[in-house]
Amino acid sequence: MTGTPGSPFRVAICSGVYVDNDGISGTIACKLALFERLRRNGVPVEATVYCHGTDRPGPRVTARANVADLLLQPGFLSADLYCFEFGVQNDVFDTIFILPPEAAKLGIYHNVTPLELVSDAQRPVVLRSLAQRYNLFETHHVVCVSEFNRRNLLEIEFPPERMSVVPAPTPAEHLIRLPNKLDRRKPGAVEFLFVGRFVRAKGVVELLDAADRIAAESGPEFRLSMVFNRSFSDRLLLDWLDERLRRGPARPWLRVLPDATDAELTAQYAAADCFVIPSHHEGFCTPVIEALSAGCHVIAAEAGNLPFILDGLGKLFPVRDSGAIADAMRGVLRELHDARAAGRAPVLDTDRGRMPVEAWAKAVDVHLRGFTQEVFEIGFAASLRASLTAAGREIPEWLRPGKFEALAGIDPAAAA
Amino acid sequence: MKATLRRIAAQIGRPMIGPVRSQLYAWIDYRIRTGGDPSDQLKRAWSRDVAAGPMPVSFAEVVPALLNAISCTNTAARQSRRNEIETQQRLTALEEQVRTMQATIERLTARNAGAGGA
Repeated sequence: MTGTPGSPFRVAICSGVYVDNDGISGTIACKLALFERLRRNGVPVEATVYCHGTDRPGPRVTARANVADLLLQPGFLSADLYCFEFGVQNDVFDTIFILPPEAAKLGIYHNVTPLELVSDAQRPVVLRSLAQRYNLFETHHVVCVSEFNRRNLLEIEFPPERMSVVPAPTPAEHLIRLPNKLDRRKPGAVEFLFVGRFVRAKGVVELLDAADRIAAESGPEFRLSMVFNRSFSDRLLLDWLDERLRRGPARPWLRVLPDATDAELTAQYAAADCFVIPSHHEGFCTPVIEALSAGCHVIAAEAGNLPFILDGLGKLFPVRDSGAIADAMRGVLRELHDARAAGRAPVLDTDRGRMPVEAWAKAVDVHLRGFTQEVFEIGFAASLRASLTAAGREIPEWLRPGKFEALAGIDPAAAA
Repeated sequence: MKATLRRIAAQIGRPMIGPVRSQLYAWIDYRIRTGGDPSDQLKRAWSRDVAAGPMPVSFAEVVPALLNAISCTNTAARQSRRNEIETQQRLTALEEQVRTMQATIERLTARNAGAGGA
């Protein structure tokens, strides 16, 4: 069956929150946009977000602080398919135990930050999240947003045949395409860029140590720009940064850019030569895709999803090692400086070997095709079909392979 | 959470988890069938039982606690099974090591015996 005859196919997207500047919420917005596009193209489908809180109100968003109130919302218990977005413990996810048995249930796994990487204040919620992760076993299928997340679920014995990897799409407002940027740079300071929350788990302390070391040497000129969102950062660590900047030596090479707008962030990507991400853990890491798209070389810690999302197109260094970060930055600095001084194209040191920038840009182009909106939508549709099949339900006509791509307006070339 | 559950279970005069979970299903079922607020049903049911005293909990209070308890119970059961499997795997590996060691000892013993006889 596919719901009551004549009534639309109802999708309930369940999440703790649905807010701006949040990775999970960004992927929810992509799903809502997909279902809205299908609806405009005549598909009888309705998607609603059910959450505890939102700053994105609208007709397709139902927010209630108490899960009991959500259960009483018209339509919640009559959806054909439930899509549970999970990264942090939330009461909505527990409704999975009382849904009608015929409903199809899909889990989207965004990863839980490891316990050892969070502050004491965050430990209780991480412990609850790690426990609630087992709710995923109650779904018919799970989409992992990265290969790292898939391996994470294998560790708790989640059946591999009930999982697929569908990378989260990158928000279009941050994407610029500058594939041959490094080939055309003029002599001047080499620009390093960090984008992420200002928390210890992002490796910001080691990054500053590494940059201080390089600045103390008489090497080529460089700049480090650190872009972060204050509201998602560690207040104590921001105080520590202020103190360090006030008391330490002058750092003309450092630019601290809290609360950058989308336009400012895009400008930073455009200006950067090399993106540095020394995180101790990443469940996906969208900024790597944004940086590669903007033609930046990437050096990253060998942690979490970073080796998978880079796929050898950047240079990995050991995690938590400021000396190794300094070595990696120094290598990029010297090569880009020497190439510019000599008027030649740089050769990038990557985990696939030393790559002339032109060959590297071509490989990046191929790599980025796996992270497009189209690839996401095709993968997501496949996971919807997998959930429905496992739940013993008929797949609606509009969701069948080929038909879905046509109705969603996906370019056949992209689909291929 | 267990303390909360115990308190709620005691307040509504029911044993933990199983029957309480059944009651939760009944409330949800009531909502699906009638479209009414389960809290009203709960209040009516409670008011019929004079001995029960004033209703101590509402649907809004009970639901999150019960759902969380069900989730925690589910997790504990799965983790326990996983631990059991891991323990069994470690035991199997140890038994294999013991067999290898026994074979080595027997081989060395036989070699020493052979050397002694030569």
